[in-house]
Amino acid sequence: MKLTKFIEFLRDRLKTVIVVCYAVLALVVVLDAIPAVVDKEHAHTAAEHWVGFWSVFGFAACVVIILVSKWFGHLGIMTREDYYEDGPASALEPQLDAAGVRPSSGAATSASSKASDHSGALGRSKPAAPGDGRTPKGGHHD
Amino acid sequence: MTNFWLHPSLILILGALVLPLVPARLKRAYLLLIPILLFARILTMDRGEFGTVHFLDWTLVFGRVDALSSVFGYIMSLMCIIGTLYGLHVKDDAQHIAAWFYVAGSIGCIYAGDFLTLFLFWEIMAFSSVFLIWFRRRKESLSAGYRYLLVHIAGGVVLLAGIVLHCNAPGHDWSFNLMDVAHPTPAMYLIMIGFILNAAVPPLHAWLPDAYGEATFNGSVFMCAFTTKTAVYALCRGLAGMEILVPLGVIMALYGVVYAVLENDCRRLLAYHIISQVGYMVAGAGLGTQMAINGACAHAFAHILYKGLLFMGCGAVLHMTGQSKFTELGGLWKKMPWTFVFTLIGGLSISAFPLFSGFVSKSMIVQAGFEEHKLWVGFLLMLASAGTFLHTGLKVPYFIWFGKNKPKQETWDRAAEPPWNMNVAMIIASALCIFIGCYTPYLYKMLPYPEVAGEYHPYTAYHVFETLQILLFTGLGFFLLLKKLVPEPTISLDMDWFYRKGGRAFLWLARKPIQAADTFVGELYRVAGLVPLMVSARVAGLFDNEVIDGVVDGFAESIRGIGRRLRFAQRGQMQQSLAFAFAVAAILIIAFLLYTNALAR
Repeated sequence: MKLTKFIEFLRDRLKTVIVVCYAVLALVVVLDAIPAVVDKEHAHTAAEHWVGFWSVFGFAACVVIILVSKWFGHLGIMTREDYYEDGPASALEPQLDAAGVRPSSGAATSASSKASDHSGALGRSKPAAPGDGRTPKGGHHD
Repeated sequence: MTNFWLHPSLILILGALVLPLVPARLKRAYLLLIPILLFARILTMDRGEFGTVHFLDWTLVFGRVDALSSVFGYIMSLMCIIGTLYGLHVKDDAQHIAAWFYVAGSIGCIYAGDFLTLFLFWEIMAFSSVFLIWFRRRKESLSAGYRYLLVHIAGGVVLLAGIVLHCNAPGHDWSFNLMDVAHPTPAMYLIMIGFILNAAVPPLHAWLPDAYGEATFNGSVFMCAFTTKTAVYALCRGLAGMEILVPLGVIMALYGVVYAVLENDCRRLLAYHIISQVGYMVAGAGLGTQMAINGACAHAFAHILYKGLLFMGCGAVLHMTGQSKFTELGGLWKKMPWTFVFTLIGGLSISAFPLFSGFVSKSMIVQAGFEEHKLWVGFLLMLASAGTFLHTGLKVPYFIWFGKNKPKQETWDRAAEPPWNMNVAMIIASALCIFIGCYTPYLYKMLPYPEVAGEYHPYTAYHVFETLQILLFTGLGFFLLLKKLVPEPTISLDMDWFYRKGGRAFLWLARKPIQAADTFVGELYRVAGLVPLMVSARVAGLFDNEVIDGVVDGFAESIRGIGRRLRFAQRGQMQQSLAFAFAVAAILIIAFLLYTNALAR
């Protein structure tokens, strides 16, 4: 496909492309400084009359947005992907059921926090008893 | 000349109801025909008030056609054609039906001349769009859909409360016109909350990325266009010039940008940028000058097209590769180069690059801010537009189509250019984005104040160079800080934390029959396909009932009916919340009826 070839062509000459980009940046700033090209009559503030004001603004905006957002995100806003999936307590339930720790009737539910404590111990003890025929395979999955 | 006035939404609704009966070989033609008929109907409508129905004490106006509603009706019906074309190959009739009902709801709101009609269509929109999420049929989509519905029901209740209070106050009637924004009453604030929830104004915004990131590949294309823009219309119509909207809009514009930096899912990133872009429109509505309202409408018009295009590009990637996370994608330029070009055009349009659509629309709002001597509005919106280019113009294309990341082999093998209809839809949207950017009279003549728009010239040397400098130097910053921007496989906590985790804590306390709930949820996932179908049929039936049998009865019935269905499908937390919402709605309706009866005597 021609488009793919074109992109490949540009990628092979990445250095040249970068130089051209810098040249364009410089050109924009230079043209902005020439009053005959850019009439600053309609500027709203004095600062906008400075040469390259919007260039600095754009660059600073970009840096500020990235740094502030990342700082904000790492305060604890960004978290693991399964954060909203079922918490540890309910994730344990199938295991508990499979392992037969919990009676199948609903009677033990009030003590569910206790049950999850037990399961920790159970999880550790299981590998120690590999010969136990009753240990179901499914007890560990999930 | 008869009194019959064909409501444009009716074309879609009837079209959607007939769709399952259409033979398979005619289906594609039919799918295109109905939106085109809708577009034709909207183009040929005369200005004026039509479809007036007297019902009990109320006068319902289904068709108020004026400059403001026409521009929104035009772009929404156009987007309906593009969106349907994009999903043309989807075999599932129910998805098309849901999408069309959704658009019908949106268009109904646009042409509604009174608050009751507005509310009726407002709710149709919420209840039909949720299926576009559920039809993705993932476990996550089911819960995301319920959250979406929950939030919108809550918003609807607030809106209804506001409407009832506002319209029964002395000196007010039910007509939906510009309210006295200089002297806001509590009722107006309630109405505003109902509107800005749909416009996704923080802190009422978290439903948007939650839902749009989880909807089907073409469902998001519809969703990104209609809900928020209908809310923008409602703000322009009813609350133009309300001061508080200006800071809210500016906060929105920046809030979306910050979260977009953190986002790893391309469609959620785009969703955060909807929040950012709608922020411009909300600020425009808040400024309320002719220039600002023009700007808000123009930006909504342009936004529907370029955001649709962006969601189509990322939807194509999702559809073809099954992935939407940056960490799972990269280097796709070899496989999907044209999708890249279309997405890039969308990215340049949203960034307001000269010659693209955003340039001629966004600048009107910024200009209006400067003209009102609100310099901080102008500068902060400029800051947000740098962020827009940073993400949508640079980050999205770079990390999907280039970047150092290598996708998994199976993702790579699956990747290819999408089917022809998706490509054609993207070509049309791209062409329109460029056309609007290059030939300004096309859009400007449609705006509510064409004479003001006619005097506005975006292509001055100063404006072009100002924009170029901001955008190009933002680009420089992007490439210099590229390492900082490498996507991380995380999710970001947002306001939905409160109802997702808070609800869960409540659930944990309230839960007794764990076993039963577990089994039930398992069962629920199995029937997830069936239930939505049944509900969609029900909603369809209800619409007719509501129009014929009376609006208020219809509300109670639809709320009760859907509540009944939800009750079976939910665990404790959601059920409790919904029951509460319905109870409040019911009390309000009863109170309202008693009140009007008392007035009648």
